[in-house]
Amino acid sequence: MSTPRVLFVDDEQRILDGLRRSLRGKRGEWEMTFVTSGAEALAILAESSHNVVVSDMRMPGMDGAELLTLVSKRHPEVARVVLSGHTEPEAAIKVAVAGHRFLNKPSDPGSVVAVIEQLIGTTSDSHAAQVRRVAGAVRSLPTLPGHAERLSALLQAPDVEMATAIDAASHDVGLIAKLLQLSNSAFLGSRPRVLSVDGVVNALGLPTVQALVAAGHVLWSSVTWGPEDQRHLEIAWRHAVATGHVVGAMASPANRPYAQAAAMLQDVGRFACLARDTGGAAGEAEATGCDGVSYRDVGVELLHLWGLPAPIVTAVAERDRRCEPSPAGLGVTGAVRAAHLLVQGTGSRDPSAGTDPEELAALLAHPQLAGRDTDWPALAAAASDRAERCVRA
Amino acid sequence: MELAAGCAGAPYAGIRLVCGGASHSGASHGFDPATPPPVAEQIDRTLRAGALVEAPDVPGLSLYAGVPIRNSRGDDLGVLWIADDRPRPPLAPHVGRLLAVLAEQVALRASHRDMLIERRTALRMTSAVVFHATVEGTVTEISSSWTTLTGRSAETTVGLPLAELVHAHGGETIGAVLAGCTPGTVRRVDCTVTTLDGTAVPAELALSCLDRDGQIGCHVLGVVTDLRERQRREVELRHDQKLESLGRLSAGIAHEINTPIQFVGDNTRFLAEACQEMLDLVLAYRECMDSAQGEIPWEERLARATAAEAEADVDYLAAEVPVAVAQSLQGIERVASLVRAMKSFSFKESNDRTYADLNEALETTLTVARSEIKYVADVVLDLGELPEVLCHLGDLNQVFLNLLVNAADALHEKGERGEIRVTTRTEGAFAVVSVADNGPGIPEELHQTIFEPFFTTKEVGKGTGQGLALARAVVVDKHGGTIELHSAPGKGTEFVLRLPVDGKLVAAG
Repeated sequence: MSTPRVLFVDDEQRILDGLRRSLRGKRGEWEMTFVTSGAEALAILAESSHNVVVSDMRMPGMDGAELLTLVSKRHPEVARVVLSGHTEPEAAIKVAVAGHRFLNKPSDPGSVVAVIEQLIGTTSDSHAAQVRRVAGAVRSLPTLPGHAERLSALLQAPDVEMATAIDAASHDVGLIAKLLQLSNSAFLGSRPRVLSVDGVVNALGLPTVQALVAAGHVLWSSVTWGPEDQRHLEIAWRHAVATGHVVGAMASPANRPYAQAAAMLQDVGRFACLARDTGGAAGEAEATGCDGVSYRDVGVELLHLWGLPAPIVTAVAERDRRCEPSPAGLGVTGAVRAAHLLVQGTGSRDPSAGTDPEELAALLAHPQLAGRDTDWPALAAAASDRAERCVRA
Repeated sequence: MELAAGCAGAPYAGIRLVCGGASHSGASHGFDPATPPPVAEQIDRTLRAGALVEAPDVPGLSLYAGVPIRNSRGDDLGVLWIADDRPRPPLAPHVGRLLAVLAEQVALRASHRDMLIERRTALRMTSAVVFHATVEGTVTEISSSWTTLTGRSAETTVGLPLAELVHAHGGETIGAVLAGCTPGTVRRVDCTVTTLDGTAVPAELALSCLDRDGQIGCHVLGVVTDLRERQRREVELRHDQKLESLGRLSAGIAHEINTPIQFVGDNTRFLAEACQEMLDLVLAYRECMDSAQGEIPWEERLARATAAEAEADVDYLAAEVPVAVAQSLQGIERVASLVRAMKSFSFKESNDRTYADLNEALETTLTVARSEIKYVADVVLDLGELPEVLCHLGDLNQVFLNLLVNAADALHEKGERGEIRVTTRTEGAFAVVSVADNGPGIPEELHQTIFEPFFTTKEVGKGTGQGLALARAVVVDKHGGTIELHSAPGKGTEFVLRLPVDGKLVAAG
């Protein structure tokens, strides 16, 4: 395997000098290049393949958002990191669309190294480069036709309540993805990571969430889906929402935010591939993957690029694997698997995934669930109906 | 009416107005002019339509005629009528013309009455004090708002000299102000009015010389306006504007601080490592020199020292350490100068004027606004020799900031990197500050309106349109200076401020 290459872009030479000196310890492991403009960065990327690009946001001429957007189109395999001293909401939106990670200035070399090292690694063993290319091209997840309009209208109502906004946001796969991506970046400052949707909405504030929705709206409202694509989008969406409801009831309080996030993002790879297809001629929608890699691998790689916590990434990665949780607790993975299998028995089932009544029975007999006086299939049926209303609304 | 009756030789005459008023004259001989018969009413309406209408066929009357009363706009006000119940010859033709002239007089009287009523109502409604005085300054009449403002009654005030009621600012006497008052112009001076309870109220006195009774400029009409409310609003507006620009700048300032902190931190960590490596090297040298270890062959020492130097990468350190130190110091100086600039930018607001170095103030403001400017423009400073200027520095800083940020926004709009040129020079008793950009320019038709409050071309959230209005208020009203705008589409924009070096000469107004 060749030496990983990292490219740093900042219009301030002294920032680059400082990084070069403080990252000197990495000179044996990475090949580092430092340039002062977006144009130079693009020239370097065109010459040789890189693993990670770390860019400032505000630069004269081509700014960071522009550069990273171009990189996502020309070199989707390059992981995109923003290192910026800007903290205002507009920057949040630009980052959420163009970049994978956000680092605040000032950041200590330790955090810079940690993020770069994580991004140099990939999640897929077999088709790492191809999975990264497919996942890396994604800047924003598609929304259901009409959904963005409804969400914008709802959030822009003059007297919108926080609870309404949170409820609406927690049914939108694309928005949840963006919110979690931001909450796991340094964007929210030094606060502990906020993981539940309402925590993120509260921390970012309604105006930023509104602006995020508006940005998504702009990206997706003009896209017309083929009937087949739209059907896939609706199935995945409904399945995610229903699983989210069920897993909310199953997971332990500590795991709940992770489990709900994992449930909502379980088919993020499919969304990502649909988003990619609309760029060019929409190909025949495949059942389980695109461009020779599976949806699941793409989704997991995407969550990894966004830096979501390991329990979420693992739960999504292992959704279709038989789960034998320890008697001590279901864990995030077990809860998501159990909820997924339950939903497979309802109208919100995902036809591309199988069922396993035997495993489901074993999971429901788990001490964490068996002791509770809940009719799980009935709960799943109710969740499925709610999800259907949400998709059809 | 008698005149109307007389010229027509008719015993009855009257005026009936559309709005309901009626009056009449003439003794009653069976015909009651106060309650004309319904037929007469009908004739009234007919009369109003034409110039002179004779209606001989009214029962009991040999003559019933009239002319319409119209105001200058041609609105129908009513009818001037005459009537006769005796046998009589037809009306002579000149009677119609005479009646028309009389009707015109009636119309004038009516409009005069309306004006008086309007004037009285306006005086009741306004809080400004309106008074009349002789050219010598003796108050002859004063509106009731005087009592509301000062607590003094109008009766005790009439007859007093104006100089006892208001005191002009800036050492000018009321007498001099009155003397400088010429017909057709309005004199305005800032003054103080003292109320009955001793409060000094800041006010504006406006005086105008009027003609009366055929004598030119023989009496004075004056208005005293309480300025407290206006001043309070101005303070509020300035405060709002300051908060607005600070809010906008704060994100940029945070960035300006975060950037040097990032590289100073990186460099310091590198210097710590470098220092450790140097120490390790020194220890290696010391070991070579340590005689306690016995004789070490020279080659061995050389080999050890070279190995230690290679380990420490001495050449790299020798090249990088001085640069890292220099850049760190630059970064620290950048943060320090920014903090200093912010401190002096938000110079504490006081009502007193102080002598200040405007060149320094401009440099301070540029430092604060750097984050707004540096991505769109290069700044060229051409600062000439300036004497210290007596001014409200906090307000002027705000004006400089507004002009700089506007210039930056104009260049941002243009989409390519531009230049902002800041020039200062002295012109006689004035300090001249010019802020020019080579942006898209301002179309001629907007040159006046851009100084109006709430005028803005910026998108919602970027500006409230107070910037230039505030600039004018501060420079012109508060400092007695001027603002000129030179701009044309495609030619860039230049704002030229002229500030009197010794401050506003208040009384010279």
